Amino acid sequence: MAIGNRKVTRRAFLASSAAAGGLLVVPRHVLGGEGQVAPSETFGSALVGCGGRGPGTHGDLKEKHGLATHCLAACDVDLNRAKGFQKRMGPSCEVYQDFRRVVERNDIEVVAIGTPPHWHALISIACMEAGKDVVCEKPATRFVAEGRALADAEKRYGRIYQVGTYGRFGMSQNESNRTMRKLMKSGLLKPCKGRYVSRGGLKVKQWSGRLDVAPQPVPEHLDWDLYCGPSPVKPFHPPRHGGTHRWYWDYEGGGLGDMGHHKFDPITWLFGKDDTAPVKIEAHAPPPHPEVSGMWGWFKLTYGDGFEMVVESGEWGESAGLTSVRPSTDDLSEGDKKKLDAMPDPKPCVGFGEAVKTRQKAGGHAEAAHRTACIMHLANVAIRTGRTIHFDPVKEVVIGDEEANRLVHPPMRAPWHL
Amino acid sequence: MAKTDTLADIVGRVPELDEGGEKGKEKGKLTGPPWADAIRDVYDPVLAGGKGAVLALIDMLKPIDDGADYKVRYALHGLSVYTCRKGKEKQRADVIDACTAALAQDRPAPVKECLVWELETVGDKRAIPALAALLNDPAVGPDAVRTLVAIGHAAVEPLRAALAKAKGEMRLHLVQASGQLKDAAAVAHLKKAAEAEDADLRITARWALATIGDAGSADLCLKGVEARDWERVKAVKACLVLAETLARAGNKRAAADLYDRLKKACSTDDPYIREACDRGLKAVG
Repeated sequence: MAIGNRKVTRRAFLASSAAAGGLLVVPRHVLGGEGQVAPSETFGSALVGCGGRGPGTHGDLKEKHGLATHCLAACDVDLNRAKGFQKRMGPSCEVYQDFRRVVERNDIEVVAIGTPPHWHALISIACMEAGKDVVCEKPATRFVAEGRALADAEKRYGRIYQVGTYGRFGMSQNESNRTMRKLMKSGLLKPCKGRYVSRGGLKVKQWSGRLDVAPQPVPEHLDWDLYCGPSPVKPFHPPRHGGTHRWYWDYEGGGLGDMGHHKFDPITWLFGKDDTAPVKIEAHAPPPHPEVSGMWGWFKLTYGDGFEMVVESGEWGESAGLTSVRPSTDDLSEGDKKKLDAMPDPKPCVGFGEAVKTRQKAGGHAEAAHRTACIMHLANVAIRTGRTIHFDPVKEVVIGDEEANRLVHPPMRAPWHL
Repeated sequence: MAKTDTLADIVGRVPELDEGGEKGKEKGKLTGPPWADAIRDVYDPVLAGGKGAVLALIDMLKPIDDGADYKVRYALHGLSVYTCRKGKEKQRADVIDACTAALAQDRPAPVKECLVWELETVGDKRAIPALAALLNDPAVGPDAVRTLVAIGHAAVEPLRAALAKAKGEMRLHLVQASGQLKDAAAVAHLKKAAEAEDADLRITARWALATIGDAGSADLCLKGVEARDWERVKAVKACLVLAETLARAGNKRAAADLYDRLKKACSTDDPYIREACDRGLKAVG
């Protein structure tokens, strides 16, 4: 919170508010007391992006993550949505249309982000730059380079970040899954002959774009320029705003770019691929449309250790005709089995609430979220170029394909930059 | 293009939009043909007509994207993607030449925008002069900047030349382009922009200087930390990014000095910034 030129921290604000007594109405739960959460454990929160999953993501701060929060800001480029959320939160929750005004408030410590994905990385990064912790709806990013910037920001500012998907938390509860992760992370499978094959569940047709939509005047309650943000300003086709934003490359990447984060988050944890990326990506899909996502049949990722991931949409074209092969400790020599036993077991995933309070890295931290999102983004690059691509997981560039790299790190519209 | 086929016949082979099934939920979507069919039925026949056929296809674009010309847009983008394949260099040149020739003609701005976006896919250094010529056009200038950045380092000179003269919104786009392409030769222009009246311009210029890693910009970045609110947040970032860039380039002394000065500039209300500086100092030894 900025008062004049002076910035006021949460604790300083609460202390001064309590001292002011009758001059300022402060809710009982903020001041603490018997049966109430102490002020030092109540977090000033905000929601940026109040439509769709946004309110649920903010509600999860308490319900899922166990954080006592006091919602101070509702922000959306669509003022009607921000006002709608404010009604639910009460009058101490202020309405904003521009997220930068939320970022500036020092009394907001935790931010839930529920915007369309072309804003996820930029707003998450800005919040961390301002010292806030972040839980952001999936997908974490819209393209590969955003993910690297996101992970860099988490590290640079020492903030807590959690992407809004939790499959890895359930996956990590099971002992056989923990054994699999340990085996895959050990580096002892040389080469790894494992293969994961899945089919369906990615809403490909549902979230491919309609091409028969005419542009309309921009509604008065919507700041269209700010909505477009880092993407080019296009004519206002109504489906570009709202849940159907998923149809457009400017904002997301179809069903794969969206549901893919749910699907691949537990898989990257299980097979120990949440700190690396595939080196080869092949896709079977029709030629792409320039504006909207479309159909695809399957894609195949090959990792540096030989592990393969094959994902079929079940909605277009022929099957890849491949089956799963589960990596096993049986593939190890007796000596390597002993080496594996001597290695530490995987640590359990730390929930966002615990991470905020203890300053540990959350289970769905930025690096893991980025590497999972890379699966969707790289598959979409292969789909959109119609070419098999070879990727360097360290430099995070496509090797020998300048045009494909334009989709790995597309330019942003000023003044928005990573 | 076979003699018996008109361009309209060829474009007509792009599949019809979906009817939408019983509930009409998927109406207006394009299932899309397999690549092999699209190449045989659409792309190769158009490309057989050379640049002239691609220009004729561009002539079929309508200014309003209301779905009426979806087959044309789909076919044109397919040509852009297809001709980026190895072995299609001659055909790619035809597509680029057709797009750039059309950009030089008197066409509606939305059509020019569509062509600029296509060049973001298919364009290379051959497209630079035509795109650079659009940098004074407020309607398509920002998109031209974006496409030039996508084309990459070959585009830095015309972008820098435009930056030297640019005003208003275009100056902001060009400052950002200099940062995206890490154009060290643009530092003098960026330093001027970092002291401009417009806050977005100052913020973007500091970021560009930081990503370029100009050691002489430390004072400018630190000066921004005296600002309030959003600009201050972004100025702190510029300092940290500049220090990291300097350290990566081996200039650890300058990086350490910047971390020290930033730490001193940040009050006790910003412990996370001071902690970030401490981590930086530890990293540079």
